[in-house]
Amino acid sequence: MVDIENSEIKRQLKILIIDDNPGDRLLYKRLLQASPSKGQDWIILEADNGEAARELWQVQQPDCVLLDYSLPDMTGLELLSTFGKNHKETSLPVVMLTGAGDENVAVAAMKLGAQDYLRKGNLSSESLCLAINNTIQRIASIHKAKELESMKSEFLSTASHELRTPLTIIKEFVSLVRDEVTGTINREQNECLTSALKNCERLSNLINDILDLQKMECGNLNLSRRKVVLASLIESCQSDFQALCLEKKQQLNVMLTADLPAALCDPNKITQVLVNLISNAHKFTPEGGRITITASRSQDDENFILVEVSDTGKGIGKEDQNRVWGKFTQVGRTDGPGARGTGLGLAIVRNLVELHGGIVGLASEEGQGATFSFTIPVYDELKEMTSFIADRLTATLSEGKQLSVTLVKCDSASQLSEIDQCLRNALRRKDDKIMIVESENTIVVTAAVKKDDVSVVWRRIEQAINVQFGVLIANCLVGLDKPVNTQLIFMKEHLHSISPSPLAKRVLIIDDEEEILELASTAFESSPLNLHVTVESNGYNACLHLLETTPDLVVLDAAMPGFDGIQVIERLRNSSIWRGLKVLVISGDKNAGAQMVELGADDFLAKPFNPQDLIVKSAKLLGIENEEACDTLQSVVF
Amino acid sequence: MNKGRVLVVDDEPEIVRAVSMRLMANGYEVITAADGNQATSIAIKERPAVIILDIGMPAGSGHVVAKRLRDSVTTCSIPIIYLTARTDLKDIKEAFGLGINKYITKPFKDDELILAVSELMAKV
Repeated sequence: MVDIENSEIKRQLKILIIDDNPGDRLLYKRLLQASPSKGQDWIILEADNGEAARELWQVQQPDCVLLDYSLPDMTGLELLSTFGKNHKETSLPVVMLTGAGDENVAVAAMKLGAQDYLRKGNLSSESLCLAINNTIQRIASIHKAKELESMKSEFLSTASHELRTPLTIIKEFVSLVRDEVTGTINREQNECLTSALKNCERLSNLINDILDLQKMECGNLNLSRRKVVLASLIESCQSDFQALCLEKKQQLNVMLTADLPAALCDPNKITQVLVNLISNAHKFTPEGGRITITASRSQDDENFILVEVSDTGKGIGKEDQNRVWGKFTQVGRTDGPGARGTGLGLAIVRNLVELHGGIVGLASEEGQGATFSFTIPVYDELKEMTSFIADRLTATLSEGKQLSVTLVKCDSASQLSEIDQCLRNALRRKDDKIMIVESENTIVVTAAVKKDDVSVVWRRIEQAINVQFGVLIANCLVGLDKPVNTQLIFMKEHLHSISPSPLAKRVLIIDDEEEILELASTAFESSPLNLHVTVESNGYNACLHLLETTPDLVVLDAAMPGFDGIQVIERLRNSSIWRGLKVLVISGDKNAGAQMVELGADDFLAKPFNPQDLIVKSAKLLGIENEEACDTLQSVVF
Repeated sequence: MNKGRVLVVDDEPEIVRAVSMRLMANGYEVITAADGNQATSIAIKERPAVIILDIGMPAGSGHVVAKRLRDSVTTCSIPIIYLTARTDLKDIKEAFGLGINKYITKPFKDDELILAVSELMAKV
């Protein structure tokens, strides 16, 4: 009865039965053994609680798991979710066993990766075996698909790389002839070669687009999401296209609503989206036409921002509107000669937007221009704080521990006590739990963690949210080996008056002199600013560091041996993290400082410097305004 | 006119030739190498002012060559330009760690390579 594709040898399949009722386990075993399976032998493993099941599962790697909902130490769903989170698997070889009327358990299980479910009261040998076999086959084909996907991605990546070398050779030799390095040429020859070069460019863009798309489709593209002020991003794109639009006498306008919230996105990728859309608008709009970029909070969903790029070109007919988003489709709205794209621009736009959780849209009528739109999420401070803390803390907790961070917005005192009760319930379990509760004036971060982890966890939270402005309350709930409940309370009003976000801004100081590093970091750390400070004494290493964790501000010495400040800036200017990064140059040499500002640094502070000046200039660059509030704050700290 | 000596290293002879022609047309003296070993010994002997180095070479990656050059007292201060088809973050990070002065991907834009060479030459 079992027919695993491509398997010549019928090996024994391992089934793991997780149920705390021995009678039930016996039943399942009997049903399995009674199956008319033409010699199929199951190896049956059993577990009667979550912990034991988890271990057995990890070690034995069963082909299929029969999972009951109620276990003594956790629910079946909780067990499932630990596998989901740890192993990033969204498909698990699990058949959920549910009681009558428990459809929502079944649905929840499927969402966590289970493949099927069976009602306990209604089992037969056939239904059980069928469910198990289907599950095994489905998992096998999912794995096969994943394998194919990764083969395809490797192939495309190698191919793209291989294509680049001959393309470079062609481009270079054609260039050399056209530039008359090999001797003079006439006008006709020049035109031919220029045309050849244009197409080398086209080919090169195509290769890059294919690679990009491939990376996105197999999830290899990492977004570095952060809080982004769209106004500057959009205006930057506008100025980049100004010259091009001028050539075609096109107007390029930007209209942003006054209260446009900040977005949560990867600024480079969203810039790429905008560049693609504006470039299309420019290509397909005739001379004297108008291109308009607008951004506002979405009417359909207040958690999203709607950005639109409209043009006064020929428009796109209804029949073609769905096709434009496809790959390699060039919908013929040729308003002018040449400038054909790769056909992948919109596919890339759609992918990037969807990766951010947004959606793309197109509104157009033949002859009436077109409006391409996309949505991106609004930056939600509290949500970000929650995931920020969760990320930092997950790294801290020891092996096998789970961390769940719950965010609860609380309006009344009764709700607070409800939450307190939840927390006490949570203490009974082995999971660590952190809850963040926001009420009118305060944000309370409550953690239930094992006592010996407490100091480590709190040190991390302190670093993460800069707790020098909070008040730490520790309540030891029960005994030495039971979890401890600790709470951290922030006075919200003070948090908000320091900076728009309660998250610490990150500063990286790069200087080869130990004393300067000491002086600057002490100055930052004892200031009332929310700052997280790191130091580097070596330019090479600093750049490496910058690529891994991009700070908000870099304080950079101009003169360092080997890789100096100027080289650091040059390095950074060409990298993807340049936008949004602020650089403050410190130097004894005014000329070097001026040179670096010319290269793109934001400000200059002469050495030897006054620590107060360092703080003031840094605060300005970081957008931290309210210094009065900073002073008030100092007095709040006990 | 000799604006300076440049060492070009790439296992693809046509890349070497195209790049050399371009450099010579711009007044530079060019020496070449087809693999890492040749590159290191030529660099030590001839002391070029700038080195243009490919990463993906079959007999020894550019990273290995760059490291050797950086570790040797005679060659450690010679600026290196990576000229490569590779765009992986991994390679870029490695380049940073080795103190590579410029990272230019193939195919490169118009004057990108010449500009890079002249900039680095000016500092020597």
